[in-house]
Amino acid sequence: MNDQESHINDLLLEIFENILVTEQKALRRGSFSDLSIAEMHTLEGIGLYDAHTMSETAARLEITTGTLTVAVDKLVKKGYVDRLRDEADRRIVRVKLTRKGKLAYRLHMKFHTLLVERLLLPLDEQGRATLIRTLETIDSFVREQYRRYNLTED
Amino acid sequence: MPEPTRTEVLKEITSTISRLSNVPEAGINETQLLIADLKLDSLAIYELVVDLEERFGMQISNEDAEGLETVGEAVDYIQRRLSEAG
Repeated sequence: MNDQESHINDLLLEIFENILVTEQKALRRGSFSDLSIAEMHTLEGIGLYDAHTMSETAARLEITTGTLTVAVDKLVKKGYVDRLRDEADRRIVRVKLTRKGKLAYRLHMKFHTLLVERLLLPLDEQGRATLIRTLETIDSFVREQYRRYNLTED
Repeated sequence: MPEPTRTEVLKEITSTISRLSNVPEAGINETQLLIADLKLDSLAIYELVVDLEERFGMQISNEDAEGLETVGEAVDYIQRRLSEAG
């Protein structure tokens, strides 16, 4: 790696690490200190309004239904999520956020909004378009690698 | 069901704000700022939003919620949304 590549690599890793650490600290300090970041992201996957099925939610989160079941069990105990039986087909279980879950979700979204606003603040329209293209390229590359490793594991 | 009047919406919002801020309902008026005057923090604002969603059967985005500065603006917003849906 040359100096420029090394600098970009350090920045990417630092940003990734610092966002996660800051999210966790913000949660620990606030009204939802019993939530981990992983649990917060499960709440995001469940969504603010709709009661999706377990398999739909697992697909949105790109995790197995088994993993989701364990996560939802904990979130139900902590009062952030409700499980309900589908009215039309009692075999189907749906999950939705409780009032407490909705408040945690909204507060967390505010953190993300502030982050993006701060990122965009110094950029003009051209700069923003370049940033979006760059992030899309990185996202696409990382997703492709993720898919390849997943296939290898299967 | 008939659409709630402006007075009914104001009453609902004032009652929720009073519970969240510990300011008596009689001490809350439409010109007051939610954050600066009534000392609602982000969490309290979202509590108000969730209450209003449940009471009036609507979805309110964080962006919309953050744009509401005064009690009167919150009343106007709910009324506008209700008449749009009506």
